[in-house]
Amino acid sequence: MAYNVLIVDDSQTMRKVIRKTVSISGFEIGDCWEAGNGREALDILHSCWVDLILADLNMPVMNGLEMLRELKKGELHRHIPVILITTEGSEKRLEEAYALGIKGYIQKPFYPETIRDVLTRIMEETRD
Amino acid sequence: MIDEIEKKAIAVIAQVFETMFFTPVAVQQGESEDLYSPIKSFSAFLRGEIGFEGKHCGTLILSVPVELAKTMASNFMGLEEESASDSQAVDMVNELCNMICGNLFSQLDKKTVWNLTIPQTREVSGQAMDAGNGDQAMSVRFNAEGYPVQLQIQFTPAA
Repeated sequence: MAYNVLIVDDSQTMRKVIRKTVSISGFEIGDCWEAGNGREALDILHSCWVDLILADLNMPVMNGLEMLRELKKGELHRHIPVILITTEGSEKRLEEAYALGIKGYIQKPFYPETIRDVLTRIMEETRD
Repeated sequence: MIDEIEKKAIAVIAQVFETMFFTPVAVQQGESEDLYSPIKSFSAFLRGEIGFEGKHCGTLILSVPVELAKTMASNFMGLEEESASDSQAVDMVNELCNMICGNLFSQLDKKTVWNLTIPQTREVSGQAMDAGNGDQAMSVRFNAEGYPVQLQIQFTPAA
C-alpha cells in the first residue's frame, strides 16, 4: 500500500533528503508534497489527501508545535498521523508534542533504517 | 561547564558528520597542529550561526570551507560530487548548525527546554576563522576530508 506523505521542514535540502531516505527505506510513497513551514503545510492539507505528515519543530512563520495545535482544532485533519523529525530532544517539548497528538519522533541525524522502522510501525498501528 | 560542553560537542560533531554526511572527522587535541597537515586550501568559508536559549544562552557558530560544504551537500543529498549548488551548500550548513546545536544541548540537559533561533549562514572570504576568546567562549577545530572546520560557542553572560 502506498501512502501520500507531506514533508514539513524549512530546509529545502533536508526535505529532499527525507524524501529520498523514505523512498530508499522501502516505505511505499504515493504522492509526496513539501512545505517550508506549518502554515504552508496547513494550506496543502486544504486541497490534498495526506496519509502521513513528517514535520520539523523549529521553523519560521509557523513552527511544528503551532501546526500541531492548528491540526488538532480541525475535525478533518486531526487524525492524520504526524511524526516529528527534528534535532530537538528536550523531554518537556516532546511531552508537549505527544500531548498534541504526534505518533512518533525521529531525532536528526538519522539512519534510513530508523525512518523505515518508525514509519512502518506507525502506519501499521494506524491501519489496525 | 565549558569542558563538559566541549567533550559533548566533539561527540555530537562526529555523530552528525558521520551519520548524515558520511564524513569522518578528526578533532584537534590540545595544541597539536598535526591535524592540519596535509591540509587542502580554500578561498572562502561558510559561517553559520544559530542562537540558543535555555539553561545557557548564546550563539553557536560553525565555519566550513565552501569546497567542503559543497562536497558534504552532495553527500547529504546523494548527488554526484561537486554538483551541489551554492544555495544547497548554505542550506546544508544551516542544517548542520541546527543538528549540532539541538543535539548538543538536549544531550547536555534533556530536562531543559532549549529554544533555538532559525540558523543563518553567510560566505566569508579568506581562510581566517575567528577563534573567539575569553571565558565565555569555546572553540573546537577539526579536520574533515582534509579541510579545517571550526565550531565555536559564545555564551551570553547571565544578567
